Amino acid sequence: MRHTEIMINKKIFTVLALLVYVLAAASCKTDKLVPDVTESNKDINGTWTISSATQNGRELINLPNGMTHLADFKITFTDGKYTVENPVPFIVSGNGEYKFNDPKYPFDISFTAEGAPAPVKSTYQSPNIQGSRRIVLTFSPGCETNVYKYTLKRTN
Amino acid sequence: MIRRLRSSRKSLLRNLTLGMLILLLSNCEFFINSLEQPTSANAGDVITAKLDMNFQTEQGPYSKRIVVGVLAPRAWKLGQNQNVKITYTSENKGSGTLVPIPASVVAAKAKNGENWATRMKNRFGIGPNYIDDMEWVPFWTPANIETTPFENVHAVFSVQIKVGVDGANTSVKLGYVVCNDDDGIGDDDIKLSPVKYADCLEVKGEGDLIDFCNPSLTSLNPTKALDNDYQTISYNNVLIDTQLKGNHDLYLCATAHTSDGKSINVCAQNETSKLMETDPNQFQITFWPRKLFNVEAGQTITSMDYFITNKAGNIKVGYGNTDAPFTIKFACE
Repeated sequence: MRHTEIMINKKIFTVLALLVYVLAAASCKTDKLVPDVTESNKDINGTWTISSATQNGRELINLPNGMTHLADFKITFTDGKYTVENPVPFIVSGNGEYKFNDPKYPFDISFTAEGAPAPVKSTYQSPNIQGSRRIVLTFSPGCETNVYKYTLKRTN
Repeated sequence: MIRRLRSSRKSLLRNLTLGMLILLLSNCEFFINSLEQPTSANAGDVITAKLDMNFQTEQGPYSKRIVVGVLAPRAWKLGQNQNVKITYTSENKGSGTLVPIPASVVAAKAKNGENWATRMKNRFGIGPNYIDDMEWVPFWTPANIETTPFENVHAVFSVQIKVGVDGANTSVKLGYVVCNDDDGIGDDDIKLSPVKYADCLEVKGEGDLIDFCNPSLTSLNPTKALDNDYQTISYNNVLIDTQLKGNHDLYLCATAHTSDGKSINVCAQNETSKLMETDPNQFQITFWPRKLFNVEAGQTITSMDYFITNKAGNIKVGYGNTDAPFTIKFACE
């Protein structure tokens, strides 16, 4: 009786071991996990307003708009060109052209205002906040020790 | 019987005291036993602050990095160009040199993913100073320090700081915080992140004194700015008896001086020039000089003079409560 039990157990063990082997072998099949798509160029066309503005880490957007005029600022990007309305301290003053350092994976953006001798750079991030894309620009319009971070939100 | 009761009360008291002592000793605690720092220096000098510390551990063994943060005026750029060197010596842990914590490192226990510098600023602000143009600069040991259970480590940290790299006359109370990279900085309990502020350090340089140590009638933030920066002026309406004391409706009356030798006066009492009362009798106005004075492209504001006035504009308070205006120079150095 005991002997038969051991035999059955051995059989079960063999079946299980085989099963494990088959599963392990099957799992070795390579699957193509990365789809064949290329990252598209960053499209920022449209009009953007400021949703947050910090100077050296302190938030300025909560101050009365009569002081900062930050809520009135608008920037419109159209295929490599930009226009600014109701200016505030910004990377550039005046309209002109913009360019990413890398159109697919940009980490900085340079602006060349009309008549300006050279482009001015800002670091560029585009996080997704509450389901909508933001643009975060970091720059120093005055003294280089004063660092501003503007978070832009698309209007419409 | 009474004697027995008395003696049992005595032993209860003794046991309680002993228990409390053990409880106290068994808590993990960091102590800044003393802070020594000079109170005067010339701009560009290197000063040395000495922090005498004890690190008590309850359990363990622990393996953690020690974090030291220094609070200083932002214009001193402590995070750059090796303007700070922190070393430590300890009888049983040897010695070493701390390294800056990269800004990308999230502080331990940070709720919103903030880095160490931001966490320190959020928790301790500017300590006993009066102008918010300061920053905490974090450093840590390059490797973990190992401790055994119930160890009481003594260490002396030497913080060498190049002061006043901006060359300006400055008085400031520098701050120092010590913690470990795992417990970080607590919200209320600061047993594991003690902080100490030094006495007022007077740095002799050039130009108007930037006084972080004492309240003044007006103060600027940032302390260094150009006409294309936002500038905040704070006005303290209780510091001394001025004609405006008790008035809660205050305005800025200012004259800008441009690089092409022109003066632009803006002295209307309206929404643009109105100061905001941020705390009782504490006022503030933030403005973009180029917009306030409506300067043309190519024109630069080099300085501005200003008074604080009442709504009617007939009462003006100037520098040190005199008829002379307060002044701002728009320059970075």
